Amino acid sequence: MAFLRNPWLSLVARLIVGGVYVYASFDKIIHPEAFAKIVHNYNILPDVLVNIFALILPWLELVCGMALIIGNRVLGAAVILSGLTAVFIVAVGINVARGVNIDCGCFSTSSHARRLGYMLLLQDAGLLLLSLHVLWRGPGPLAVDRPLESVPA
Amino acid sequence: MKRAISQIAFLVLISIALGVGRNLAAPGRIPWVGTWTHVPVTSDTIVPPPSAQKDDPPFLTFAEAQTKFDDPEVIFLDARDPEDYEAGHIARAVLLPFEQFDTWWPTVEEKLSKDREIVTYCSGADCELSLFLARHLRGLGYTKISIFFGGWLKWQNEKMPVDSGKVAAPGGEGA
Repeated sequence: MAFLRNPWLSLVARLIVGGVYVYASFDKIIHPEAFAKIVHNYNILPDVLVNIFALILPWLELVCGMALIIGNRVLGAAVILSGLTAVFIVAVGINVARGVNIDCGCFSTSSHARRLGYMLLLQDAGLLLLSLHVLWRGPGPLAVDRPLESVPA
Repeated sequence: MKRAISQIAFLVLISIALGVGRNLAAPGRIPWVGTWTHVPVTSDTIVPPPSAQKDDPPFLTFAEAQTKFDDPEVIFLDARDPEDYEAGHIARAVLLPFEQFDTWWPTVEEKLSKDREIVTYCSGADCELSLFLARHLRGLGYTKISIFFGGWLKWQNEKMPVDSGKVAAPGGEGA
């Protein structure tokens, strides 16, 4: 399993997670109202928090995704995105278990872009593993952060 | 550890600033605290969606939908995607996905006549496809249309008859 420690794998993991989150943020930033509706449909957050969450979450995805891609503040970004992905898994899991059929709101706010389901949970789990890898091994090559700074001794 | 916390704080604060700034400055602002109506799926109250208009086709309560269902002359149209329909739908309902209307319409049109009673539905609660489909059909001249807004969710909760299984793609498409 030596390849798991290969620094280039850290780079690849960082770019994938960062890229996915940056891509995921665009449509939600452009359409806050549609995204707020999707957040509300998940039926998890109290109503008062729905809009605030819908306004800030996509920016958090964008900022942390960019941080991973350029390799700056990788540790903090990896913690946040691992946490977010875990939260998404729980939120999707709850609604799959409830048997509700709602829009995922993952990459697009248009209705019927994508529905909740087991495939989505699987992809989120993959994303979580990749971001945990970044957390574990640090940024790898081609990062603004110096490698030693981010890999816990 | 300390570095992680300061990095997290930095990233979160930047994101909050951008999110708040965007909502203050750019078009498409939303209120900080939204007013959300919860559609109760367990009771039989009808709460029409925000986009409902006064002259929209009527919304049915579950009890009314049940009565319609007992009449074999009434046709139920499922406005959801084919995958959703295949996973489970109201028994005897016919698939007519609103998002792929033109593809599926020929297969459904032959089953309808202008004086046949039609009930549209979709997932229920927060989905509006049934409303859009009902409006569209009325535009085509079908007058006896109503909407079962409780939809698939309510139908399942009430343990009403359901079907599932593959549906043939329309017009030899796909194969």
